[in-house]
Amino acid sequence: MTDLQQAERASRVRSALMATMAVVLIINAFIAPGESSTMTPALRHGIWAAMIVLWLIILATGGWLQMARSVRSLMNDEVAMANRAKALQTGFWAASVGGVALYFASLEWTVSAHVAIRILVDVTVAAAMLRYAWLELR
Amino acid sequence: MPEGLSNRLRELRAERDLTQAALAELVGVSRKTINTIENGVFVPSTVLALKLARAMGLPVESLFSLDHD
Repeated sequence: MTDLQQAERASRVRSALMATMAVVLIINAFIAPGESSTMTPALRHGIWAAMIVLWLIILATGGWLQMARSVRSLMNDEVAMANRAKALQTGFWAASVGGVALYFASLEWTVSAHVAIRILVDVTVAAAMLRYAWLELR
Repeated sequence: MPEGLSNRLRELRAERDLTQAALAELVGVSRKTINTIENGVFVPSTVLALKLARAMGLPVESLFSLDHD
């Protein structure tokens, strides 16, 4: 398989995984923002934080760091970099709108800080990943 | 096509019997990049435009032009 073929395949996998993870994050943010009975709080928070950090690193670097530099440079060429910039812009707007929404929600309902932050981060990262996946897969 | 910019990349690539993948390999970008440039969705950087022109053996103005030209 040539570098180009490897890069195309990895890019498609990356986009599909991002789209899938974005949906998981959104569902997780709004359906299960509270406590879980199957894990200790420390484990649950740790897993969430590790997942968020992993996807932020992928958004920042393009991920797939184990691949050859020649393949990664094709995966992260001009179009991919431009799409990533647009995705991060979308994340910014999602964070801003989400923050305002949570602000007004907190006036009506009691929303703990860690639930609000988790919802906001999930929505922000999910929005960025969904936009990136859409731009790459269209 | 972005406002004011025309490109003949697809037409000139076809004249040279080059596939998008082949041109992408010559220039060092993904096939998707070639496709989005040809469809007018993406405006390449100056460096990439020059690389495309060099790969095709043409001046860059043959590939890209302003609409009023």
